[in-house]
Amino acid sequence: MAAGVKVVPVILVIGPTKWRSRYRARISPEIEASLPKWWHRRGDPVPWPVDMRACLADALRKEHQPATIMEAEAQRRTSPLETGFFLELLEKLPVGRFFAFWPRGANPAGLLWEFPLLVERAGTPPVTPDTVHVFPQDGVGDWDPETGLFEFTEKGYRTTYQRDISRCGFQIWRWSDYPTLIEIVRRVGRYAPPVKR
Amino acid sequence: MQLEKDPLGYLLRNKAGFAILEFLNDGKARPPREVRHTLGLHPQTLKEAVDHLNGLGLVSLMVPPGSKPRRVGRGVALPIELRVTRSGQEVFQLAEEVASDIRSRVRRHEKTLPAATVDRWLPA
Repeated sequence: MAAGVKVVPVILVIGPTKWRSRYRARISPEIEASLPKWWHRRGDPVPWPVDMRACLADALRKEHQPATIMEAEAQRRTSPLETGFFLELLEKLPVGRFFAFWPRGANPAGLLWEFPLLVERAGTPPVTPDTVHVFPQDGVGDWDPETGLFEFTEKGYRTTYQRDISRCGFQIWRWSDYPTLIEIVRRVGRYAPPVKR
Repeated sequence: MQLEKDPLGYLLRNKAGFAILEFLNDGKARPPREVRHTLGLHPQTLKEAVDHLNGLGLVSLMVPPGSKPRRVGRGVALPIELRVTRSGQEVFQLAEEVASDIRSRVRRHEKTLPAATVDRWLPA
């Protein structure tokens, strides 16, 4: 890399790739317009969570925040392993913040694989409570003002992993529908710049 | 939840939201219970206001690192704290300046303004 070139940390939008079987999200027409081109080619009438992640990264880039998803960085891959590729990206991009997209009805396998990788690096930049942002949809989890506890309410998630992610420390931004999610992601992207590395 | 487009407008209209942001403005993360007890808010009022402030990017629900998860029913619950964001501090400062200006103008025209306006901006 040329000397004097400022490297801007990237926001990596992580999260699930597919819906659970028999679950189909409702995506409004205005969101469909900003989805990446490739989802049309898949032939599925409903975009997948990976398409939504690409859409969120695109929304962030429009706010002049460099953002990407793992699937869009395939040209950087040197490791044959998924875990190796993920860890490579953290250094190569380099990643400054993590935005975890967590919609209702998604197959959480990808997210539950990514979280422990972050937990392993908890407390070391770029994995700090200020840089890990989780965006659960209403129905995935909610908080109780009496007890001050955030509870994962969607059935079928692995509680062992949920326990693990609390070690990491992170920030939660709740949303109900996709237009609201995009607005929140833009705001968080704009207003919470990465901690200097 | 229908989000407001303008955080400043929301803060000026919503007393609970304003009070929560004022309390959190020093930047410390605080448990919801402490915020609720200090400000004397009903749990549902706190939840609605915080959910709105969260959606506007002004207050984050933060799971502190190393916090101890608790088992609830068949799942897990994580303790959270409320923390103002940098944007929250900026918007609050602006809202406070506007509110102070409104208060001084209301005080000047106290006798001619509707009672509800005076009660809203100049509480006894």
